[in-house]
Amino acid sequence: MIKNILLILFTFVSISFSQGINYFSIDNLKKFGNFLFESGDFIRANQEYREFLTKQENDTIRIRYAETLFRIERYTEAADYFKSAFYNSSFEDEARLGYFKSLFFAGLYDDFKKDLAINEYISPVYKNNIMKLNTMTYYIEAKPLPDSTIILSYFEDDARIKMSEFYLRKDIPLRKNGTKAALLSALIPGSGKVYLGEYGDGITAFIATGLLTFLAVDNFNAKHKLRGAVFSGLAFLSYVGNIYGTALAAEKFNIGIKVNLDKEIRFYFKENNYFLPEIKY
Amino acid sequence: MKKVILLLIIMASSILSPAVLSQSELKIQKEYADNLFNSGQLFDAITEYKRLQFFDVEGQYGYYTNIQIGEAYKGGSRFDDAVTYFANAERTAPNDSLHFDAAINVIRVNILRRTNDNAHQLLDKLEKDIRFNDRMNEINYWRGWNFIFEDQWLVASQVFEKIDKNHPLALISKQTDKNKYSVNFAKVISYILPGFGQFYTGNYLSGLMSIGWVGLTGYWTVNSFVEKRVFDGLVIGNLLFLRFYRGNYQNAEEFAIEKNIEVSNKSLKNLQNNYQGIKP
Repeated sequence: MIKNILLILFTFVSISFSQGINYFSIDNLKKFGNFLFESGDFIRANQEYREFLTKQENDTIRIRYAETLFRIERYTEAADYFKSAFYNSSFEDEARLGYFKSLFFAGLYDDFKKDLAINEYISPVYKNNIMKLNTMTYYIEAKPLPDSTIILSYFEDDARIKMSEFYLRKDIPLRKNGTKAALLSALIPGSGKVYLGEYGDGITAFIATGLLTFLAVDNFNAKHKLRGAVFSGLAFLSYVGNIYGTALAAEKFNIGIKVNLDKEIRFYFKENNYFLPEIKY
Repeated sequence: MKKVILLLIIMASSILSPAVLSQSELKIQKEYADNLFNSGQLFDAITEYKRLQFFDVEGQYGYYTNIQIGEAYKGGSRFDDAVTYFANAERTAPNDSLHFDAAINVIRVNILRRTNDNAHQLLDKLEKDIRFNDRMNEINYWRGWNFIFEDQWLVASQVFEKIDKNHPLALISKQTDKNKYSVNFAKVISYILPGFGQFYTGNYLSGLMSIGWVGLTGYWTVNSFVEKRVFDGLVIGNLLFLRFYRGNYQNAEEFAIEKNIEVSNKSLKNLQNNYQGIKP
């Protein structure tokens, strides 16, 4: 009788020991990884999922792992992992969108367009989002834009109006002619700057050059040769400097148009989260 | 005899229940995280403290893990994350004393990341809280540090003096304040005697240049008026003399500010390397 009781108790104690929590078990890696993923600690969630995937295959964890790579800006690796979930996965559509968004953020626009031509890579569910990303690549790249009717057709209402505006500004930028601006400044100091829209600078240049010239003449008339020479030098510097400055300002103006437009476009895309949907894996 | 053995076994089995085992697992996990933290592997330490926090369903280590994660983030200069976890520690503190410690940690990070207004507000809050009346010295200590980081050394010394008249930080702060240049004096002396503001801050060449330019253009201006070329006088006076005169006192002011930054940085470096007390 006592032997039996002892055996039961021994078994109970053994089971108790074996029930000690292993925080690194597959199940706990998944639970902890999910907790980190949902709390936005993607870099650590990535570690937990990687460990999990070495031991077990799981559709959700694979797609989440790819998403963590994307969130920590390891875009090319993210693209590879999204691609590995293209077939036989519960998240085939999400994986295809994830793949294209990873290529987009990695700046691999040529690969993006090449894979866009492969029909089976396009998710029917997220086709619109992928095509929007494709349009955005044209806006970001420094290449000629294709026909607007095609690339803008995926955008609706306000977004289409804004994208059309960007299209026009990118296609026909309002540049200024540097030579014309410099010649204007040579004829009338400051007028080149006025042509570039820098009215304050233009008027200042006109007054400064005029005054310095007057001072030079007046000092020569008053027989102050040294002062006359100093003001002549300053007037000459002001005149030549203004012409040179106008040419530079025109160049800066033209670069500014491109840079500012690029900034504005990128800000608009970011503001709209690149027209990507919120996906819960 | 058999009954005694049976009783002992029953007692042992009840002690070794899963709950107890779970406690020991948490302890092992804590030790693991602590080892990582102590060996400077802060990234991994954060992961393991977070794991401990996640599996500690009863929140037994809630305060401790929040503090440790906050410290690790702080050590990695991730100040925003550090504040988040120290604030969590404040919420999970089991008693007033630990609540105060967590609040001080939030303040220290605010001092470090130079959000000094936040630090002052939090210090004010602690000061008004009657639970912490007996910890006024600590409040003053960190307020003093906050003033140091705001570059208000004189005020800092006065705050440290509230703790102890001869507090080492009070003496250092006072000395630093003494070593600083008066920006107003540099500016005013340059209004009256162009170039002397630069001399005061030790920039002799710049001072001589200022005297030369202001003198020359001043002479030309006066000379033009004397020769009754009023327009010349007005233009030279406005465009040249006033330009150099204004440049002179602005220059003196900038030099004084630059020198003061040098003095402050030297003191901060000295505190960082040689001060033995607790630092933010």
